Amino acid sequence: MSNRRTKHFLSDHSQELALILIIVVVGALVQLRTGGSFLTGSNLNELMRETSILIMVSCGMMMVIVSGGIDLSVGSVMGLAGMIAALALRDHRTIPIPMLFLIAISVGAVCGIFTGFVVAKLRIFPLIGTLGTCDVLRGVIYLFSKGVWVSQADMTDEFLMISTGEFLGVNYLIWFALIIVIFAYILMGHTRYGRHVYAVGNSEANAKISGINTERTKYIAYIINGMIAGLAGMLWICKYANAQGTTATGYELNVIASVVLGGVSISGGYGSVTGVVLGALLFGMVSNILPLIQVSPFWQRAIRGAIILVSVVINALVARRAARRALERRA
Amino acid sequence: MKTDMGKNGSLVSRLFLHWETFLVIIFAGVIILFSCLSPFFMNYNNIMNSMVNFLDKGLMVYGIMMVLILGEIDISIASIITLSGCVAGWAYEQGCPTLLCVVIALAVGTLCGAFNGFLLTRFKELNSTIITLGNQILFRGLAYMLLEDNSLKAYAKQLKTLAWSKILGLPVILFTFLVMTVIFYYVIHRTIFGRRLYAIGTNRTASYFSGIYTDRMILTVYTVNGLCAAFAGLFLASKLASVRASIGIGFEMEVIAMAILGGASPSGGRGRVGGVILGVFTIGMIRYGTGIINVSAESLKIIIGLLLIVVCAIPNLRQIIADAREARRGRTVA
Amino acid sequence: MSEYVLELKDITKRFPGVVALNKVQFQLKKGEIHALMGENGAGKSTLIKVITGVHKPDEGHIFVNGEEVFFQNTNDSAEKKISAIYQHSTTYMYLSVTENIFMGHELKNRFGLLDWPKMHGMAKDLLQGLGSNIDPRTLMRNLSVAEQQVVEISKAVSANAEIVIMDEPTAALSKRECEELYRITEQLKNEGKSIIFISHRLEDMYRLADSVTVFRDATYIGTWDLKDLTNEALVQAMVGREIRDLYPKQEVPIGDTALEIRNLTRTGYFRNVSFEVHRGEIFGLTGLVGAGRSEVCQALCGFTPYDSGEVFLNGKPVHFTHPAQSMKQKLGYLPEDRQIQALLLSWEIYRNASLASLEKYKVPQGIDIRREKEDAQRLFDQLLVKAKGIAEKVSALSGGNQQKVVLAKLLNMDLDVLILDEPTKGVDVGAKAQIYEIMTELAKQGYAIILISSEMPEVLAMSDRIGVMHEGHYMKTLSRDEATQEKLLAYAMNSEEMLKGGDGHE
Repeated sequence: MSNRRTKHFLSDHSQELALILIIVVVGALVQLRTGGSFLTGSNLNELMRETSILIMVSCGMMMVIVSGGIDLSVGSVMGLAGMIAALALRDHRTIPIPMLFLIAISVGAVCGIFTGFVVAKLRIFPLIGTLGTCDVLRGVIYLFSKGVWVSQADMTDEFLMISTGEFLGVNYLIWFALIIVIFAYILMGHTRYGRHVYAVGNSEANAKISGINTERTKYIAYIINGMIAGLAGMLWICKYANAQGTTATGYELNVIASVVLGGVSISGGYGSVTGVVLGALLFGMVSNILPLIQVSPFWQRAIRGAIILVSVVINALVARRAARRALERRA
Repeated sequence: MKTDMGKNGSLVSRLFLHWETFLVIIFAGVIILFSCLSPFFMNYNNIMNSMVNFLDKGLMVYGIMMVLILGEIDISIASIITLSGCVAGWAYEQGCPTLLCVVIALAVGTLCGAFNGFLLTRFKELNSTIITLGNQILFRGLAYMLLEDNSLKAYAKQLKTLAWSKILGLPVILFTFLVMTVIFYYVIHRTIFGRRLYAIGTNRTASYFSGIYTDRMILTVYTVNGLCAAFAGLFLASKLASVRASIGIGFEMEVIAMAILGGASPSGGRGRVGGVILGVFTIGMIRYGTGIINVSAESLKIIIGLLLIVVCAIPNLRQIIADAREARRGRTVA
Repeated sequence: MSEYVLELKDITKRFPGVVALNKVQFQLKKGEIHALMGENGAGKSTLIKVITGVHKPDEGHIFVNGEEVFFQNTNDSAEKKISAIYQHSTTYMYLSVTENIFMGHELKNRFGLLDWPKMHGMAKDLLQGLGSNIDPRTLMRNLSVAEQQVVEISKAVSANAEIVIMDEPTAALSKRECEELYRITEQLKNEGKSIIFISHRLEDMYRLADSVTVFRDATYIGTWDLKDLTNEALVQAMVGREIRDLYPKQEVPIGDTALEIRNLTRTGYFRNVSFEVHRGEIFGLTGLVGAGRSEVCQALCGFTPYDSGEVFLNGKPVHFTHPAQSMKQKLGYLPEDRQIQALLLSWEIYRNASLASLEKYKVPQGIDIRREKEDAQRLFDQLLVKAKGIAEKVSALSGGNQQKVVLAKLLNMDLDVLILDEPTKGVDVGAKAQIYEIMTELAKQGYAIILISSEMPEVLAMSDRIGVMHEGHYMKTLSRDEATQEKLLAYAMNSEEMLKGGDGHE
């Protein structure tokens, strides 16, 4: 019995285990290659800091993808929320920091409501609908900023502390990521709503039969995704100490790559927060390592594309093998 | 419950059920609006010169239209433009003659399209969303690997005449668009291939059971789509007089908007060439008109994005309203 | 308090082009197992969906415990403790057993979070209560079909359902698994629950049911106590007429072998299947749902691959890897699910009829639409399709007329072997008789026909020879004269006592 359970545990969590293995092996190889400059405390802290925003946004995106959708507009949402928070700071230098968070998250929520409306209410094919919202929101950034940048000079030290300050020796950004991960973990695994997201992604028709309000479930997923993206957008401008019209352009692709790498099924219904965090970590690690091993930064985009394709193809092949085995057992 | 009113209705009401009728109205509305806003709008030379600014996307629209008819999607086309342009530019730097470079550009586009189609038919578990998304990043990434941050001017300058000269008094790009329209009209609406295209988009399983080589068709359509993108890339390079890895970003949205406005649908089996022509020119005129009245490129993005959303929503509206009414009725009874 | 826990009066439900239920009645007593019988398309599944609130009836009344109810969705019916286990499993494959059981009514702990330990524990108890030791943490996709069904039943139990509806639960189960299901069903009955049991299999009904209601062609025929009902009366009620009257099978001279398969095998689907069909012959291929009949035929036509074995067409060995190849060699297949596999519902009749034979109409300027329409018109007249004309959309037609359009598509091709997979499924009586007539006519013209059907009377009446399959194995070929309903059923279920003892019932 316990043997059988171990076997199921291994097969149900094979993606996570494989990711851990890859992360360890890649880490060890790079450690050897760079003569020990990779696995140092400061570099690891830096790596985590770099990856924390990616991890957060991936958790939001994961909810949307598990519900059977996709959101190409998160990059724009981040840019918009960041820009509005930055403008607020520039024009009212005394504004309290929590107020800025509230602004950024609210902007994200409004964007999420808009995207959710487009996908869940208007029932537009998510890829095309969010392709539209992506450009609309990007345009809205310019309406607000009138094309100007908000630079470090316009920001207060207090504000910039958010990305550099530490609590218990750990960077604030990492704490934010941790909070979002725990939130997502509990939401997706331990609340009624979270499991309904999985049910809708598994089969919308069945979810309706189970009495789940599928439209609302999808709508909320987009709103939460928007709120997380809003928060991440503010942390982004804080980390890079400037906000521009092009902030986080194309970031959605990194996010989707991490989610897919984390084993989330692109057609919905399957995937774990743990997997997504590991996927984002691995993705962030690869981005961090490439300069260390002297890979041109111009290669990164192609490598990202290849990571997406290779991971979905491997997932497909693994699923095929499992199906074939199931058939052989039946025969 | 009368769902087939159109059949018994008069000619006028039947006409109004056609998407194309709406399109003509929208198109006329756009023209009238801009004519009122600017006296320079209705100017033959201005209009002809504006063609080069939107018809490069128009050259891709039939490719994406066929993909949509199949019930698939392709968001990698903008990257295909870039990669084919960059490879051709690079080849020119290596000493290839211009004609060969053009052939290389077209070949690269075709290969990229075929790669999309190959992955899609080979791995049926994956959908076109994720495959073309991955390839969108990969293709542009390859362009960056090749050119890094450089911009190549020599190749594109050889093509300069392409964008700005005229054939029979028409801009070359308009002429090309018209030729492509004739070809695709024939292929999509007259041939067996076209009939099968719609069949696959309407019901893929039934098409397969009717002996249609569905995989081969999908592969062909994606390949042609890649070729169309490479074609558009030639004109884009000629217009910009340079190629670099960042050209054409975001083109896919406008092309998809043109096709969907023209009546194609991502759920497949719908859309006609006539409508798509109107879709191309409606968005083209919006682009041209907003340019004339000095609307910023960013506001134009908002307009086109919203237009795409509204256009996608319209076919769903009837169902959405019916469901809402049903739900309301339910609440009052219970 | 009413005598019935559930009562339906004069329920009518229409879908575009079809009346799915026509003023039907249904009454369920407390603590009984009530079998709902009828041929395919009789309206059983629609009735279930009306009871559970998936569909709203256009007319009529529903009473639960004597009180009229108006279900808007499945939540409303669940509130009245009605639970259904559907024919096509409504499980979530990528979620755990526990979650499948509790979906929609999860348990929370005092923090408002899901109480997984409690739910796993309850799920385990529920499953053990049904005599099953499935691990509730397993993902649904790791279970067999039978195990999934047990999970579905425990889902109904966990919702405290008083009325449990089972729609063809035994269709995909082995004999041993069926026994398990019977045991569980009886256990539920003993606990005072009322059960509606839908099945094709007479065996199920004799084993379990207290009373039987029969539907035919969307209408209510009658309700009987099982002990008052003879086999003949039941079949008569289901079919509605002397069987032989409906089937105008004529003797046709049997010609050469047209199609032969030897030891065809596809792992997990079927094993070592061999049979042959001759010109002018109708070869019935029967068995229970899931026996592998369609799978064999689809493999030999090239829809799906097979691992080993040989196919001979007119004596020549062939191996098709795509349906277009088999069609070119004059072998055609009419699929079981016409709406999904055969028709483009939003298209006109004539464009459906020509879809598989477009090459015929190829001209330099494209497709010769005039000739295409002429051919469609000819078939339209020949098959007596009831529609306004060949330009009518297929979606507006009734099931029978849709099936005729599929036949038109096949006949528009140049074929000589036809495989018809459940050609009369969901077809009204009039059209059914016409389809039989068409089949006979085709056999006369020299077509070799394989008739795949689960309806034993149909197979018995129409076939010259009958092949029976059971769980992927080819069991037996019977001639027209030696075949009886009992024998077919015995081979189809691979039931030894029935094979030895002859007719088991009555």
